[in-house]
Amino acid sequence: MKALCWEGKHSIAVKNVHNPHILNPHDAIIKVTSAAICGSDLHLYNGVIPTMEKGDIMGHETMGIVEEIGPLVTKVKVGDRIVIPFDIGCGHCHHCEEQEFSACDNTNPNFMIPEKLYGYGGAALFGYSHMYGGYAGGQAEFIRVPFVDTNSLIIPEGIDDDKVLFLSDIFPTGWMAAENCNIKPGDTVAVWGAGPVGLLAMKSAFMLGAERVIAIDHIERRLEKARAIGCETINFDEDDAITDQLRFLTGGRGPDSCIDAVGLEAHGHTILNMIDTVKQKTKIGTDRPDALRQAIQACKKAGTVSIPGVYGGFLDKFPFGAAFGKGLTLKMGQTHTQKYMQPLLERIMNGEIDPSFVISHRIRIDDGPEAYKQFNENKDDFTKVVLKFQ
Amino acid sequence: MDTSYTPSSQSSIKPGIPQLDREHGYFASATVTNSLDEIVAFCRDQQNVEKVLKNLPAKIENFLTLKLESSAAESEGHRIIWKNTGKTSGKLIFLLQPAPKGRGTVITTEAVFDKIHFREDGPSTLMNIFLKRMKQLMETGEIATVEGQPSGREEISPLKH
Repeated sequence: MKALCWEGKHSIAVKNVHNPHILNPHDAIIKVTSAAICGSDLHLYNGVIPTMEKGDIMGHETMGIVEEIGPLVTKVKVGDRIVIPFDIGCGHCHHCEEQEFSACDNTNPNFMIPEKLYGYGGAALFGYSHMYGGYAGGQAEFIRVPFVDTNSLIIPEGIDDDKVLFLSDIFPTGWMAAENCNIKPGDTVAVWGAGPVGLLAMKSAFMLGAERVIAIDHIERRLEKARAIGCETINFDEDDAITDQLRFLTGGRGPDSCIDAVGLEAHGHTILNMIDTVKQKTKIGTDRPDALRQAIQACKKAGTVSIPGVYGGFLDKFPFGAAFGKGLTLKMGQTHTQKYMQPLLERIMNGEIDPSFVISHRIRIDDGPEAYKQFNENKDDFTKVVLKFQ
Repeated sequence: MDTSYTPSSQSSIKPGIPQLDREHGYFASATVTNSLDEIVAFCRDQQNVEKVLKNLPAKIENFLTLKLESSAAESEGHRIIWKNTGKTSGKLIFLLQPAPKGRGTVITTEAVFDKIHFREDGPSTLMNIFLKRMKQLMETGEIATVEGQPSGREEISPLKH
């Protein structure tokens, strides 16, 4: 089969590899129909997530048709059309029983790596480094899905892939980010990053009752998309005094909650971000957390900062004094995708939202390497890339 | 970093937490969602124990000839002792206790042995891996793996572009 493989920093290749097969009794093999390139895949592309190995198959936003099932699969049937969550839950451990699927105890064969780094290891992820299990990803013609009864949402007939594909990650991620804000009627939510997760967090914030949503980015096309769904916008290329602007826009209070949908590769013109960039490039630092610094600084007293953006290592000049001094609530982490897939599918079917508004490009797998390059370098044109296999 | 744990003799340990042979053993603990009765039955099954031992990333063939020495409810909990009857002497001990508030079962494993060959990982690390994989098998019926999956490291033939 054809698969998009990580070959090193800034290098993705289409390779002809063996088809996957059933390895464990709860597995299924899926013939992929659509797969997306996620903004977090660019962290891998840029070489800032450790424990990738040359030849790893990329991709964690995938859907397709069930081709084969293992002997202990009970819910999913051959021929079902399913969306696959990016995080892999076992469905049986304490955390899965509590619907904390991204904290699953049992799916990461390489749990010793995150245990050493973080104290405890969470769930494995598809196509996202060996620290997260080393599972082959879904930017390929076929994918093996462990514990498929837990890690699938069966899609009814008559709904396009594009409408439901993002139930695999970015819609639940945006939704959980907004839900973590504990939004009350009349609230103002500020969102750093108007990429796909940020845009869906903005839309979710409105759906959960926010009065105003303010998008912060520097890519005008993305800010246009934010305005199109009802957001006010701040372009930090024009004025990077974000805290002052947000204070002014909120009557001196600050946003009730702030969402960092940027993560460890923040852009911007602050001195701290320039220092972060040098440290990251020279490998003496890991993460560039300037969006998070701004969110903490800008958030109102006793507000909430929600962090769906990915972080991997150690954060320098983290303004913990401001977070403590204002009594902020910080909520973060990988999304418990399986918890949200069914209720969000119902919202899609009810016509409350069509997440496909974030798509900018639909391509074939052979164009994947160039799409990665363009997505990374040309964010003005590339918002969300979907690979089509049929 | 070694992730299994040998408590220091100065540790203040609540009553009910197993008292360990700190001189000779290697320990690990985990909580599983299964009931105490299920786990007692699981840990008494030689196939289950050996399946996980064989799955460890180390050469431990001389610790694989096990015989059930005892299995009994004691004041601390249910203790199951497997004795190695191979070339080296040693024991693998499970102490099983109900977890707080009906959250399943706490398993404490202890391995005691005189001589065993390890290649990459130390015995304490292996105990942690052993118990985590036991937990996977107990809770899900399988041990997580990516061995045998495709990757670009085993390309069939280069694609023509």
